[in-house]
Amino acid sequence: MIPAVLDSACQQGFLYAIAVLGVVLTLRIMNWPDLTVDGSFTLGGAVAAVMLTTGHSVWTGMILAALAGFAAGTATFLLNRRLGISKILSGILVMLVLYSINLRIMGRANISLLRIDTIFSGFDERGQGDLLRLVVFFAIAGIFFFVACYVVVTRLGLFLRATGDNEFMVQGLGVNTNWLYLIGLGLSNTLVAISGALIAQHQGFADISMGTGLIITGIAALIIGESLMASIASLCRLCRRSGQYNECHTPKPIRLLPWKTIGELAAAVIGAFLYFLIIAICLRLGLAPTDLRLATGVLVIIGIGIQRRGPAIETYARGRL
Amino acid sequence: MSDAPAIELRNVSVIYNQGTPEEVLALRHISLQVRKGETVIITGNNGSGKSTLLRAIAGTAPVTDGAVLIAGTDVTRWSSHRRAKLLGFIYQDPMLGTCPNLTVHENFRLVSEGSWWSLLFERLHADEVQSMLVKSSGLLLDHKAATLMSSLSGGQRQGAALILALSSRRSILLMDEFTSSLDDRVRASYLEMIAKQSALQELTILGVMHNLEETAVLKARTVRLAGGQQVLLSASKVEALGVSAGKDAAIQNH
Repeated sequence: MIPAVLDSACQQGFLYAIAVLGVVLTLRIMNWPDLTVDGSFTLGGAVAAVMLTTGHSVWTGMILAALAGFAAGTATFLLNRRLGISKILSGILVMLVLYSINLRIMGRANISLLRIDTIFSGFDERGQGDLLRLVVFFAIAGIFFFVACYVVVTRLGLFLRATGDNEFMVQGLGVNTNWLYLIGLGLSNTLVAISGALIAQHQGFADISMGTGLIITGIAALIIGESLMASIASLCRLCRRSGQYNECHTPKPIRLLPWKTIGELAAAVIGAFLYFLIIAICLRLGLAPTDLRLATGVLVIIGIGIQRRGPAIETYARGRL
Repeated sequence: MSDAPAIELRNVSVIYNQGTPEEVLALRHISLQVRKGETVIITGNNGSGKSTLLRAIAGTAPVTDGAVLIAGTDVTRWSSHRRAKLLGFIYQDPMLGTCPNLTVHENFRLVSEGSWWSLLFERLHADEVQSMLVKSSGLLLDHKAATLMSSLSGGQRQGAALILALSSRRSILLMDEFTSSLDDRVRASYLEMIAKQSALQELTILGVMHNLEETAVLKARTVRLAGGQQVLLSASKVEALGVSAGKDAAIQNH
């Protein structure tokens, strides 16, 4: 048996990890802080819930949720690239519009999925803390992680990163960056909508406010994951205590794969799990649910602090060793 | 069509912020022809419209009147990325021509051919032209292949941008004062590399430069701009400016 706190964190964390992968795709790879995700997450949940309650199959619901997410990303893309509205404002506008659209789709603010067959129905008989169930949740996140990794190790992934880095240069190579932004935003919101659809089925209801603050949750999870990975890397370097300064003079080996980006994707999955683990522990320790936003804010600040001050702390520690 | 000039401007005018109080007339009825394989250098004071002229050809400045033709095809209404399939561009700012958060190797991979879904496993400089350019540049970029572009100096980045432009298989190269931030030794080696590649690939080059001595290295024809218009630059004036190899420009005053 697995402790309840860990069980809850694994289930929620690995499903939310899919949405955080979407946030990484826009925020880190395309350099586009896309606020659409708050709306597309609920959109995915709403579409899946309506499809399931109207007697359609689980897979039809999932596919339509994914397509709806892609459409939401496309709307943000069109506002920015065709009407010249800024990236942030485009996302805010689509998020705003999606609130009404989601209400229209659902017909009310909340749809219950109790006593309706969902993608997780097969696990209902299995009790709390069942290991197989956690393996399945981990596998779901793993599949989307590998899909995202596959995209970034292709030439398309290289151009997506290049567009986020210097769009002007990519256009100078004769590439239409509009297509790349459409693919990036579409894929990101597809992942977020799939996550929303899975979360709605997992928690047994779709709610109009389920996506509120998702971008902050995503950023918090990403920063926690990155901080942990950076701290481990820093500790490894300190333990080795090898001549760091000599290494600067020898050519670094060519890395044929974008390990930094793959690390960010891994940080998204690990961070999502850790975020929900920390939240579950805080709730277990008696933190009021109303203080969760405060806890999230503090986590982000600590994470960013570790990232910003990490190199200075490492240099200080190296001097003391 | 084969006799058509590589680049032709017909009465081109560029107005920035047209119809607003900030309207600026940057180019006024410019006509210019650059033949295939020819090197033309635009000179002129700051604000004379030199960079705007290049940007009008590249499609990043609004052509409000006239026509831009590349190899006889009217490209005036083409988007900048569509024109970029025909043109290479080296910018004055070394930061513009490369991706700072990608490694040198990844930047070079951007100009290599391949399908969108091909995996990034190929070794650096599979392309012969790129490999030769990296070696001839003297930048030791092979040793810095795994280094982020943002960690290189401005001169090294400009060199990398030059290699990217020369290995991108374009027959026309636009250069916007790209040597302005380079020291004398590096500037000379880059110009020599361009001259060599120009002869090898039969490149058509249209550049902007302040240093007229550089036009001699490139055996270039010079065109002078002032206040958004072309002005006559006589052979004696060119020589007086220290450009013994410079030829007189084909000038049209409007």
